[in-house]
Amino acid sequence: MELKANAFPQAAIIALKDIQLQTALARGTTNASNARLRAMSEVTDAEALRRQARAAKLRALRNLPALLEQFEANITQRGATVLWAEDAEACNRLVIEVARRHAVQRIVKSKSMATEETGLNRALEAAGLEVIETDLGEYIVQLDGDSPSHIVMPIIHKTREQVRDLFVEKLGMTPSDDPEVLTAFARQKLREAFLSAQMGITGANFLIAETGTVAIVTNEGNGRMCSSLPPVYVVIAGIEKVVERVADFATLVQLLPRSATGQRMTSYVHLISGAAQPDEPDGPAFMYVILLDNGRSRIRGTRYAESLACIRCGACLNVCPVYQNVGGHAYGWVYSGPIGAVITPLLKGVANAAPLPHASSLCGACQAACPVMINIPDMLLRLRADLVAEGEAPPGLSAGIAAWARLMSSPFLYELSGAVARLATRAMAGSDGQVRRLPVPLLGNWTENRDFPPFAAKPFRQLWRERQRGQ
Amino acid sequence: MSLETSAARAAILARLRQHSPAFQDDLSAPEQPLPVTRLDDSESLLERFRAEVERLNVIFQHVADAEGALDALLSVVRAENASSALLWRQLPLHGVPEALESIGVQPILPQVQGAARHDIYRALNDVPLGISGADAAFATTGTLVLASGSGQGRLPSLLPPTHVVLLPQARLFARPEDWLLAHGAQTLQRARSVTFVTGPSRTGDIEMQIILGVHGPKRLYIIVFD
Ligand code: SF4
Repeated sequence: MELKANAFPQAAIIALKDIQLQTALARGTTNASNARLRAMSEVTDAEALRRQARAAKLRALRNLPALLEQFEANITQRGATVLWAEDAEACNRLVIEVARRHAVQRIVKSKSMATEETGLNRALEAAGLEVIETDLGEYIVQLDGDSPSHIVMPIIHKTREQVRDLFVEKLGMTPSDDPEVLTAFARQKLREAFLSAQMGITGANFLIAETGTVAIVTNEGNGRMCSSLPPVYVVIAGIEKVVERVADFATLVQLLPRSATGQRMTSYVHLISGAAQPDEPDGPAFMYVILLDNGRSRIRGTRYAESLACIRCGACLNVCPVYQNVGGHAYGWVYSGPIGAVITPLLKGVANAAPLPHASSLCGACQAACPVMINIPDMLLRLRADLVAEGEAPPGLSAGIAAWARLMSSPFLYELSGAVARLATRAMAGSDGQVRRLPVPLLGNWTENRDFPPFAAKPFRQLWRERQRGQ
Repeated sequence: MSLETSAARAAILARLRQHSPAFQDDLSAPEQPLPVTRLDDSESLLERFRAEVERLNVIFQHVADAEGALDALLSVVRAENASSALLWRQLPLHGVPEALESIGVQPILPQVQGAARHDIYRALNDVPLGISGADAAFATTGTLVLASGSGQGRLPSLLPPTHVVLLPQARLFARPEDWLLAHGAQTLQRARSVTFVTGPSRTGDIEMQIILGVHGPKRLYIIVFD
């Protein structure tokens, strides 16, 4: 996917004016957040469990090299081939090479953020291979030449009418906007693909080092189809997916669905520990696991290492006031929302995603929702500092800070500025008392899409003086 | 081009070994992890399991013994109007293939390893029903555990629109972690594919409306017997 994170401000304005998108985002994020709160209220001790989950992920990150070797040794012993990819390009090249070896033409694929990151589909198509996304949302996105806008709900931005029009136009479906009919239609199309594909590709939610197991979590069952039906099965997993023990997995695999969709368990959790054995009636004959670095080992060596603990549940997106209003596409790359605002600058360079660390009010809702308690606000602040250090501070910030410093050091100037602001904003306010537009160069942008409350009639300092005088 | 990645492997591991992140948290691994779901001691596991699976639109039956299970199975097969069924050879209940044949239903034990795989899939795709056992079940989440192995294939729970699971009551555990801690590692080392099934296949992708049966089974029956 092409990186467009620096266009965040413009993309956000367009998103804010899109009524359909606003309705869809409000519905999707509110439903998912409420479901999470309900599911997390049923557990023994939510805080202690989040600490337990966090410790499991951080422990694995600390011992990462040893655990990757342990995972590799265990699954290799059961006939799988483990491959290592330094970057996106190397990863895509390996998949193409595996496809050539097994004379593959048609590939079915299950939702995977790592392959969105590497732009795998485009590379496969360029190599003359057919690749079909099989998660319903991803299938729709692929048909439409669109991109997913949420980690868990890829087409949160689309209405049923848009899906209908797409199926009618691209697949010749008899028009209907009933999700039941749309889903049944897609099922039939995708079943055809599952039965005939020579290769299945999935991501991984966890890699268990202790047993050499790949865990994939889905509701539709497409992940299980991709990993069971075709003769060749390829897993693409970021190196940060590894956990140490089955016991760690036991906690994480339950906090993930509770945080993502409010389910106690997703419909399917598929645990694959190698290609099928000769005495088994079915299953893949070949299994490959590609361990993808693509910047992760570098991030692990920085003070942003904690961001690698993310289990991609999407909870931080659902509670974020910025995501709730602008949606996923505005973030301009694969990862959106608060965690996207951290990961995109880290993976793609902070100067190439300069607006993202600022796309947050630092309200802390993300950290409070995160099942592994990632301190996203803190990392956003550090990224802002990195931007300033790289001379990438937002326009006007340095001048603004200098002016503010002068103002704050002079009681007279401070009071004077307050009086001016008070009078000016009252004069500009509409009948509802809100200021629609500030005629100040920098703040003008700010009020483009929000109202500005007028300054209080009496400032605190004046109220205080009056109080002291017993008025 | 080749699949030789030892240089990448060495480079990645070397970078990872260069520094180890210093996290402030206490990272000691708990001997006994804190259980996730609340569960009353007085609560019946079977009742909890039933409540959980019924919430997920599963059709649940509890019968007294093996004979009752066979009867229940046959009435499901009749209700679904099935003329054939995919099944495990290794079922926890004896006499299933014979019982199916006795009511005119063809039992199929799929065998697809090898070159003809895609043709066999096509031939099996219209079979309306799959029958399997389950290696374990979790009460608090309403989950079934299906491990692959000799005589325990993936297809009966994968292809047909209806899946019937035969579950001996003794295999019911309270929570996922109870089974994972006691049997997880050993099962994962033995079985190449282990699937937790919690209700039928579902999606909420289009406007968050829940639709059952996207790719896998639309209807799931569980027959528990003592
Ligand atoms: S940062 Fe936390 S809340 Fe956000 S997606 Fe990752 S795990 Fe979920």
